Parts: sequence; structure tokens; C-alpha cells
Amino acid sequence: MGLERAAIVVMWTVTALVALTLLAPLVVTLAVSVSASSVFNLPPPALSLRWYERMLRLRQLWPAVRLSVAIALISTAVSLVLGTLCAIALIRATFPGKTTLVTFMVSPLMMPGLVVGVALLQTLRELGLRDAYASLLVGHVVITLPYVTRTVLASLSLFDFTLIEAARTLGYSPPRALLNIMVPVLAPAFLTSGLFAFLASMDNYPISIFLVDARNKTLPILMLQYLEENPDPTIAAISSGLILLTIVVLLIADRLVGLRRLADF
Amino acid sequence: MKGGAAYLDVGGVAKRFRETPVIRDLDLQVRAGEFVALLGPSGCGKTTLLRIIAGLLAADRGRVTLDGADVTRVPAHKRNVGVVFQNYALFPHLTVAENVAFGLKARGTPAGEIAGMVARALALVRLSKYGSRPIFALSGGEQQRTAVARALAVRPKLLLLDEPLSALDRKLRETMRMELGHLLHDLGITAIFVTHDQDEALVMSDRIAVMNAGRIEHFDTPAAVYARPATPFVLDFVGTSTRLRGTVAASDGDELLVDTAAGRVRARGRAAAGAAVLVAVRPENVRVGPGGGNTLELKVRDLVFLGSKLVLHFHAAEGDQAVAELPAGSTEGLAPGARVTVSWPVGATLVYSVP
Amino acid sequence: MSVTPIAVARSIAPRRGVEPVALLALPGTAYLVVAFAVPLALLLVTSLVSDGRLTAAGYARFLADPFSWTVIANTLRIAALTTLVCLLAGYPAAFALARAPGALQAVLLAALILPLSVGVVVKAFAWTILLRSDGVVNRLLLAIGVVDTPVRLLFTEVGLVLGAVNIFLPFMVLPIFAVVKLIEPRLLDAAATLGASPLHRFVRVTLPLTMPGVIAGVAFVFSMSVSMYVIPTLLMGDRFKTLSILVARSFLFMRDRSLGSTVSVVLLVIAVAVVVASALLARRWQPGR
Repeated sequence: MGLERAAIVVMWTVTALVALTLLAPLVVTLAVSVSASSVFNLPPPALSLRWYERMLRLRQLWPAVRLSVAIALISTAVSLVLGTLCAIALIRATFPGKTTLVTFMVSPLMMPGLVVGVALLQTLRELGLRDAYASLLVGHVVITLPYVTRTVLASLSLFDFTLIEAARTLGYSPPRALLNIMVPVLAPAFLTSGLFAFLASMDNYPISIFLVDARNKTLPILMLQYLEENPDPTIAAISSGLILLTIVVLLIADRLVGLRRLADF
Repeated sequence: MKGGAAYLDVGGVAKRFRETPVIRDLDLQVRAGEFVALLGPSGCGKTTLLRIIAGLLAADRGRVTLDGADVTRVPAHKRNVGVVFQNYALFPHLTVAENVAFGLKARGTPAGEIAGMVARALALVRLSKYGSRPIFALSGGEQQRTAVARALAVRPKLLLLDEPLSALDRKLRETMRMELGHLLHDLGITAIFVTHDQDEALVMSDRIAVMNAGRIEHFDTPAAVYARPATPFVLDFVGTSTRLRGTVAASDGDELLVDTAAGRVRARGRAAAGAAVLVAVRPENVRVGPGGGNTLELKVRDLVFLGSKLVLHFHAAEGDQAVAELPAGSTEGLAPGARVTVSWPVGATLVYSVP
Repeated sequence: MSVTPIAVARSIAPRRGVEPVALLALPGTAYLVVAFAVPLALLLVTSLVSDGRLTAAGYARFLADPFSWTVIANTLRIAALTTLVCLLAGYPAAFALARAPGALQAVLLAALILPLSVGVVVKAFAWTILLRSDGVVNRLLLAIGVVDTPVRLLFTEVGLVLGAVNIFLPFMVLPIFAVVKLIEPRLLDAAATLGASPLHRFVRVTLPLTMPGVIAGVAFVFSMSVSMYVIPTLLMGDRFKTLSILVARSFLFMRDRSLGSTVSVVLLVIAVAVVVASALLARRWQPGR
């Protein structure tokens, strides 16, 4: 029994450490962002909001934010459609090579982003596509599609399709039945995968770095550039803004779906 | 009589979950080699009692003794009490043979002996050729037999079965009842099984413990539990009956005269005049036509033809019921609405005091 | 939960013609083929073509250079260390998460998901602050008395692994948690009644049943660590070269497309090997169906 007791103590100790280290960077960023000093000292010698003011005056910031958000929203939306259709086919139809197809659809998650980015750049250039915005969209759908396919597939595997048949006997055409019955049931899966897909797109560096140009920069690229050029706490202010925004989004998601569901990404 | 002193002795056991008492001051003594049924409705505490005996749950109070040793504080993995779970709990990542071998490996049985013991266990349940099958490829009946083989392979001192047949379809259930009963008797294993199905309990067990709300209300052979149920609950849970509420009109020695809505009934027992009682009689003791003992005039409500027998349901007062069971024969004069005279011997009347 | 999320029911009999439902998979699949598979294939091809001829000279040069092997070794070493530490820390954490009562579980889940959502640049940047000589980590170590003088963590492999582990932990914990949640408690009861001690129950029942989650977690973290770029750039700087850093430098700074393509393909081969290995392992460890 001593061994069991010890194992439980170790388990909770490790978990506590894990939780602390996971939150540590966030706390640090928030602390530095309100520091009056321009050197990254902790604890901050005095408090000040000057870095937030600086952030608001940063000319390149807002276009980058707008670009990142737009790309993220559009690519997530496209992926939700393509991924759901694919998941339906994988669950309902019988054809050879299903497992391989699933592996393929999920594989972009596990491929080195830089390699995918440079490959895509090469191909797009060959095809004559030079527009950064369009290129970013193409690349970000590749990033977000696996999240959606994976989560929706897992959710669909638990869905009772006799509900659709019941709806059909009650007068719904097959597409209407799918729309009215399946979509509400899949809503949590859409929310979860949509959230993760959106965040993955907002956060993406390796693919984006090859597809941006001087005038169109996404937020992560701008931030890394800023860090390399002027390392001052403005970057912490921007980061803190993102953290606070994410907290709000997670609170809303928890209200709608419950944090436990989000864990099934 | 098998055995002598109690092989399993459960004394004064009580258990509550949060504030709700699930088992109240319960005693149970099972003899070696006996096959006991724990019968009761859902929520009566029978599965909880099983878990306490297995060592998966600790009782709040009381003592559990097995084969002379006090096992109250002994954890499940040291008790050597086998369990067949309701949904079998077979290890999905192991084959049939590996499942059966699991307990043997856990006890450090030498590898050379395991194969032989597994083969014997599988032969007992007629699954000899199934050793290398994965669990998901088995039917319900095959899974059940694997679970039994797994529990028996380690030669437990006591075998507990939690609703072992409830997941099977009817035909299979009836076959398995016989098989399981024979198997366990042949091996001489002491076993307790939990069920809510009274037929199962009546057919399979040496003794039945009828449980209600955390207590054992009657613990005796199936024949005794059926013919002379100890309480109204047991009367109703096992079999059916004609049951009438009434008041004691007169008592003389150990003969009682009871006034009921359907008429006067004589019974053997002791009670004060004016006491509220319940009188009852099993349907197969009731005959149509006048006879000795008790006679009542009743109006037929339903006639149910069951092939080898006829069941008559009569109109009765609110809260009462009247049922008679007759061997197949002429149904003349027995249509719904007909007025019939029924009778039964005084000695077959059961009487209970009503609080 | 495996890398391929569920075991999709395998087709039994070949069907005549194509089911209309199957066509729903076409848009998504076609998209990935065109935007993902084809570009990668083209990359592979261009890396083998030089001056209009098919040649593996680029690979020969790369693999003959001892520096290349240093880079490959760096990449694999860091990835292996990161994955190992993530596994050792993440496995118990997944169990704690599954056992935690309601409110605590919500807090732990938030702690896992919130950092996931904040972005690699932010977190890597925060770790540069934490790992400085006067940073929190060093001050903690001094306070407990583990060291006498501040340890240099920035621009060291230890610091890099620390940062990477921290950032990839959720990808190890969540897949394992998903599987632990599903383990029927009755299986452990059954094992106990068969005589298995708590240790035996863990090794023979719990551990095998969590393997699909472990494989998924290890596959994710390993492939992400092999491919990571932002984290080593910020935490190690110029002196340390991994395959990803080499790819970025070749294309973005050195403008050496030939080298870049070669290194890219090497990186790709490693990533594909991880996917294939994890898919095969998952099939072996998938209980049932």
C-alpha cells in the first residue's frame, strides 16, 4: 500500500508542477507588460501602461491583426465545410483504403511547417499565383483542415444515424434531415475544432513566413520581427492582449460547450 | 445438509452512501458448497452487498468471515473471492486465453502450469477452441462463459455472480441457467449470485435471500420461500397470490377469523381481535367450487389460457387481488363476469400483521 | 484516441460503382492533394533535378558533410529529449486530470488549453525572460539551494528542452487523458478480484489500455519538436542548428534553394517515418474492432 500511496503523491506533485509551468509564461508576459522598466526585470520595479500605449500607436500592428484574423476566419470556415463533408463520407460510405485516407487527411498536422510552406510557395509561383492574401488562404486551409476532419470524425463516430432515418420517415428530405438533425448534434465538435483551427491559423509561423510579402504580414511574423529589431516590453503588451482575448474566448466557449469538450480536440 | 458451520459469515454489516443507508444491519450465513441467490428489486442493496463480500467496497460496520478467517480488512486482491461481473468486464486488449490466464499470472503461477490450467478452465465452459479469439469477436453467451472460466481458473474460495444472465436473450438464459447450475454443483464451489429475476432464483439456488431496502427479509430454500413467504414483500416479489386486507374478527387459540372485503377467511396464527392483517394464499391452492376450509364468492374479471394451465383473475376491492390457477380443463361457467365459488384449505392461508 | 482518430470500419465486400456518399470526401481530399501532397512531391522532384538532369548529387553532398550529421543529430536529440520529458511529466498529469473532481478538473483543463491558444511566439518569448540569469527559474533554483550560482539556461540545450516541453505538454496530456477517461473502472475491479496487486493492475491493465493515447501523444510531440522553428530561434539563437533552422536559413537568408530543398526532404522523410510508425503501432495496440 505504501507504493500506491507514493505513486499518488508523485502523480499530484508532477501535475501541480505541470500546471504551474504551463501558466508561468502567461503570468510573466502579463507582469512584464505592465512594467515601467524597458528592461525585462521581474518583479517590475514600477507599474505603467506605457507599453500598451505604445502598442496602440504601432502602425503596422493593426493591419497585421486584421490580416491574421481574416485569414483565420475564412480558412476555418472553408475547413469546417470540407472537413465535415469528408468526415461524413468516411463514416457512412464503404470504400477501400479508408484508414489510409484518414491518416492522409490528418497528416498535415504532423508535417514540418517550414517544408510545407516552401513547397507551397514553389508550387504557387509555378502556377503564377503571386498574391500574398490568396496564398496565405490556400496555406492556412491546409493547416486547419486536419483539426476539423479529426474532431468531427470522432464526434460522428458516436452519432446515431437512425435519427436521420427517423427524420426521413417524418417527411424530411435527406439533405434537410442532415442539416436539421446532424448539425445541432455536431455543434460542439464544430465549436471545438473551429476554435483550435482558428488558433492554429492565428499562431502559424512556418507556413506563413514563406507566403507573406512586405505589405501583408500576419501577426506572428510581425511579432517575431519586432522582437528581433526592438526588444522592448511592447511585445509583452501585444502578447498580453492576446492572452486576455483568449481568456474571454475560452470563457464563452466554456459557457457554450463546456471546457471538458474542448479537451477532445 | 451440506457443510455445517458457516463458510461465509457476514455479520452486522451496514453501509451508507452520502446520507442514504443502502445496507442496514445485515446478517448472512452461507454453507460450504451452497448456491445462494440474492434476490431483490433494483436499489435493494444486493450489488453493494456483493461488492462488500468481494472486498471491492468497505462496509461501515460489521464483519466478514470466509472459511474461518476474518477478511473484513483484507483488500480484494488478497481475498481469493472470484467475481463474474454483470457486463463481464473482460479485458479488451487480451484474447480469451489471456483473459483466463490473467489471475494465474497475477498470482505468480509458473508459466509451465498456466497453459494446462487455462485449457481445463476453458473445457469446463466448453470454449476449448476459443483460446486465441479476441474478445470483441465473441457473442454474449461466449463472453459470459469466458468470464466464468476466468473467475474459476484461480480456484476461488467463493464465487460471486452479479446478474450473470441478464444480458442474454431468453432462450440462451434458460440454457445457461442449467449449465451454470450444474457446473458449479459439480465443482462443489460455494457461490452467491445476484438477480432480480425470481424464476432464476427459484430454479438455480439451494437457498434464496430475498432483499428489500437493505435488509434480508427471508432466507430459506426456494420451496419454503415460495410456500411460506416471511413478509408481504416476499409474498409479492416471489410468485403471485390472492391477497386480501382485513381485520381480525375473532381469535381462538391459534385459529383466526378475519373479515375482508370479499368475505370471511379462516387462518392459523395468533393476533389480537381488531388487529389489521393481510391474508393470502398461493393461486395453485385455490380451487373452483365449494370445498373445505375457506370459501368465497368472486366475480371473474379475466381468464388467461396458458396452455398447461388456466389463470383466473377476479374482481377485488381496492388494494386487494384474487388469483386462482387451475390445471387445463373445462372452462364452462368461467367467462368474465361470471360469479364463481372458490375455496382453499385453511392451512394454506398465509397471514401477516400490517403495521 | 489515436493519431487517426478512430478505427474506421474496414470495408468488407467490394461494391459495384461508387456510393454517392463517398463523393462527399472528394472536395476535401482533392484540396489536400493539390495544396499539400502535390507541392511536397514537387519539392522532392526539384531536389533531385539539377541543370535539367536527375541527380542525387545534392543529397550526396549533404550527407557527406559531417556538419549535416551534427545538424541531424541535434534535431533528433532535442526532439527525443523533449518527447521523453513530456511523456514522463504528461502521463501522470493525464491521470490526475481524469481523477480530479469537477472544479479542480476545470482549472487543470484551463491551464492546459489556455497556453495552447496563446501562440508560440508569445510563449517562447516569455521563456526567454524566465530563463535569464536573473529570471524566475534561476531564482527558484537558488532559493531551494540546488545550485550556488545562477545557471546559464538561455542559449543552452537544457533551456531549449525546458521551453519546448512546456509548450508541447498539452499535446501529450490531452490525447492520453482522452484514453484514460475511457477505461472502465470495472476492469480494474475484475483484475483485483483475480488477485492482481495494484502494481500488477497498473502494468497489465491500465498501461496497455492507455497505449493508443501514448502513441498519439508521442507522435504529435516528436513530430512537432523535430519541426519546430520559432522556439529554438528565440531560445538558442544562431549558434545552434536544427534541420528546420537550416531550411529557413537556406531559403530566407542564404538563398540556396538547392540546399534548402535537400534539407527539406530529409526533414520530410523523418516526419513521414514518424506518421507511418505511429499508425502501425496504433493498429497493434488498438483494443478491439
